[in-house]
Amino acid sequence: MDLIGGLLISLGVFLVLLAGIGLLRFPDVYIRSSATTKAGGLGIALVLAGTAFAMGTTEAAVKMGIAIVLQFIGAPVSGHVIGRAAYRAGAPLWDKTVVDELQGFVERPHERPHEPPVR
Amino acid sequence: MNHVIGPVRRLPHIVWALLVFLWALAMSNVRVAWEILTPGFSMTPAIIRVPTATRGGWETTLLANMITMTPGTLSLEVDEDTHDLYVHTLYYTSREAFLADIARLERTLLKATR
Amino acid sequence: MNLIDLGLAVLALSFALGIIRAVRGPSVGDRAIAADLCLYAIVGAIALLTLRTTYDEFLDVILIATLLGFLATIALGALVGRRDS
Repeated sequence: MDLIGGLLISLGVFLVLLAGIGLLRFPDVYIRSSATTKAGGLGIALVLAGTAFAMGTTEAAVKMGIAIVLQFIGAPVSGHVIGRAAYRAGAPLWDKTVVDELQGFVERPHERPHEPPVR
Repeated sequence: MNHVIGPVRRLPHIVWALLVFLWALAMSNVRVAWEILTPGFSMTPAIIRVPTATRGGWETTLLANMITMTPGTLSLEVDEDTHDLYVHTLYYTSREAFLADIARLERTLLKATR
Repeated sequence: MNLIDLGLAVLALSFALGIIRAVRGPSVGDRAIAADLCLYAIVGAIALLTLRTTYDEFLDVILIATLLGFLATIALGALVGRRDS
């Protein structure tokens, strides 16, 4: 029990750290959102599962189970909401973004923001 | 009785969809972890319009959530008339390859919901 | 220094990284994501503290924090949409 719990917790904490580093390093808001917050969410789910294993009580298993399910429902929804809102607010795409098929589907405050603004 | 028998009959497909999803989750996590740890970026991000065979409501929501949950892809917008998704991906090679990836996920999901 | 202490230290480091991104911005969306990550770090820290102190009451705190974090992010999303980033 303790071994499994320890392994899950170590892996989860490592994923949260990776998410933090990625959050600092990645170039635009969409990449940060799609790459880091989900890694962090999965990391936390692993930490919670590890905690349930290490506690070893039914109460802990049930409560952590509910928290993990909530996490798995909530993480993609919040990722989608923030990404969608950021696009509509006109957050710029990274220079190396190759295709943007969403352009023109929704209105943005300034068009083609990943190109240098025309002076 | 149909609403009881249906889900039970589909149970293998539901479990299979869950396994496929967890596998995709693990693999894309490893890929993104590698991207974070190695210096420099080898990403070619793109926003792609993905046509889906989902019928709206539950199915579209589930597919969009599965796409968003895997690191590296993020569903940004839904066309509510055609149920097409606009997906931001980190590793874009070609339209065909990306659509095939999503279609594989979608097929396993639709087997589980229908 | 056992595994739990090490885990808490690493979570504190992730929290600090999230705070740096929240301060730097540049868009409101970035700050929302950073706040999300900070919440994850806090929830993880509470889970590890539950193990360390063996107070079962902390488990309820985790449940409520997860639920509130979800609602807070949706609210932040509305804020991001309204204001020009």
